[in-house]
Amino acid sequence: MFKKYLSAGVVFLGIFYFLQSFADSSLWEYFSGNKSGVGEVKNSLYKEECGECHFAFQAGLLPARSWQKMMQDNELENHFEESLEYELDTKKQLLDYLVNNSAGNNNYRRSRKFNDSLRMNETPLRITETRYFIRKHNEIPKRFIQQETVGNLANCEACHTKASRGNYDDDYVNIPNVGKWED
Amino acid sequence: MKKFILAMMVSLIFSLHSHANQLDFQKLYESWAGSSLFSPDASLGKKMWDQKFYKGRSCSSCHTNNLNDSGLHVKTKKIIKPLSPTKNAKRLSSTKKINKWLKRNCKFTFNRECTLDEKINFIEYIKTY
Repeated sequence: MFKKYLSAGVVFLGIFYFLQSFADSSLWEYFSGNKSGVGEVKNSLYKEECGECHFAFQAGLLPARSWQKMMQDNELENHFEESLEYELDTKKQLLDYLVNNSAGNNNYRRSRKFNDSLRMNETPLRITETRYFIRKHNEIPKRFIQQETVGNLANCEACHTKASRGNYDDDYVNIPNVGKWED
Repeated sequence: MKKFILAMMVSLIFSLHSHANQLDFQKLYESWAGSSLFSPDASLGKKMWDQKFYKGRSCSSCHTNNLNDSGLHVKTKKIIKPLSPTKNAKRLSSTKKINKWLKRNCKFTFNRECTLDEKINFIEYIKTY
């Protein structure tokens, strides 16, 4: 009697863990429609125009209203101290791409976390000022961030080795001169 | 004789090809100058390259003072490919890009647009690499 329940239990656990292993795989994604990460930069114009001076931040890191504000003329004139100018056509292409792939407009799980951490009346222009981002980075010693090779929290690629793939998973974090970090 | 003519034709074709992508700098400078006079001076460009301006910024802050080297954006730490047209064939190959970056970077570094002479001298300095 006991053996029956034991073997049933073992089979159940076996199936459970077998299925768990698919949790982050494409099989799971196929059924749930949900993808991990924040999405990759797929627009070559965006990659070029917005990835020349800094890391090409994925559209899924901010909500549509943030991108819309950032692309307004008065904001472009003072884009974090840089004066940007774009032809109308270029501007429209960039904004369309950003809005269509923004947090809240895609089915990437981590992108949704960014979006969910914001209140509707908040329109951050800095990814580093979103509640989700702050929560994820607030225990890191300042000296790890301020060291020469990293500089500041906007330099994602310095520590997130798969940032350019839209993958900010702990597993792939390698802080220069420090190593792995898990929160 | 035939060989000579053939050699001349081949070298003519080669010489044409090597200039095919060369920007017409005179034309570019004239487009900036309008009716003003200018006299290009790479050494003045080099001199200004290291000088500190707005918030202590200089051209060399990001581009270093050896244009064969890669640079680093002071704020974002993004790697900037060498400005040397010899090391980096894309440099000084597009009027549009030259105009874009001179405007943006002069505003960032000097908090104003560069003057006609400054722009010309910077291009002339970059050409020396």
